[in-house]
Amino acid sequence: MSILTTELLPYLSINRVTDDVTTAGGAISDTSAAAANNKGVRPGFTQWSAAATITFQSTAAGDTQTIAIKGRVASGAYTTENLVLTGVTEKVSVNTYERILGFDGNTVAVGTITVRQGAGGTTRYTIPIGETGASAFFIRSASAAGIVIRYDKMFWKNTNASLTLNSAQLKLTADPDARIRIGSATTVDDTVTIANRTTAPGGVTFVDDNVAQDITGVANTGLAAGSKIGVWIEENLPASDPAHKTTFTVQLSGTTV
Amino acid sequence: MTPDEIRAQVDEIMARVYANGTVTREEAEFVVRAVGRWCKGPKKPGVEAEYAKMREAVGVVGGQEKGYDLALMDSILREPCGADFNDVIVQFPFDGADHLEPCPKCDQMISFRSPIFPVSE
Repeated sequence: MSILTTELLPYLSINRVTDDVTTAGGAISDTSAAAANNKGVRPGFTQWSAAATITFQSTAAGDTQTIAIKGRVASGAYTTENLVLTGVTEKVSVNTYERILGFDGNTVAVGTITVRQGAGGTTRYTIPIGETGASAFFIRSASAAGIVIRYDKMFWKNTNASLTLNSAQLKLTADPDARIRIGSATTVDDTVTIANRTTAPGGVTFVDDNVAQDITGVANTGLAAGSKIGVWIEENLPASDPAHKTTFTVQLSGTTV
Repeated sequence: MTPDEIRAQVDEIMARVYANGTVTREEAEFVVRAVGRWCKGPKKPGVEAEYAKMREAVGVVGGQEKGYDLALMDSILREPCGADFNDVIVQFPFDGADHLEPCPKCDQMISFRSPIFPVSE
């Protein structure tokens, strides 16, 4: 059976920082991660369309973990909140959020957890069984009097049990605000960190959405089953850049038998 | 070289970079070229609005479940090119500088940041 698109999964790195001084990047935050809250954190939740609470409802009674929520409230203030889940009963946050920036549990999900915008509202993300949450990139990354360039890291993982993704390529396919470039990690399965998110990773070339990138030395071997390729993301904020609430899209493509 | 040999060579060079060692210009170019970089081609005039609408319909991740394919969407948006953009990247110092350069084949402007390597003289 061919590789399914649902088997090519994006994950964040284990160091999901919210400042410009902490070590960033590192290994993949999939189920192999050591820390419980890193066992499966992905990008790609849908942002809130209006200010609302965030709610969590599991299919399993055993989901009583604590979820750490990051977001901005109506005033614009960055806010965190810890919420103890109540299994199959929908749990509603105390705060109302103008935007959500991330949420991850202190243990992995026992059941499938639906994350909604407001009580009984629209589903914005689903935490799969065995994972912990989702997060945005570049949390709390304000512009300044001069240009500020920051780096963050994600991975694409081929979770198929046996098949290689051949002719694998990375592409930036959407960047509406034109602030993003991407660079392929120099090796597969890497765990490279940077001193802080304003430090460029060594040896990585960043290109815009006009360039497709292969994966290091894999023109004939592809991304093997179980392997992951790191993708460094560069955010370029010009001097005194207005606020952004935007998205970008990174694509992994290839061929499969 | 086989892909495995390329990977091993890249790993060896990058190990020195991460250990604050130096590499030669040729070794740095080898790492750059180990990742193929291909110009996707210029955007066709007049289709950006159509592409943006389709892109929005795809959603946050994937899109196949909705009948969209991001790879095919690129072919709708762009004229094919396929030039090796590494030929442009290696013309500049490996100093982390920002560049905006034309594709040598289709002339569309491409922005990139040069990689940083501690190149020995």
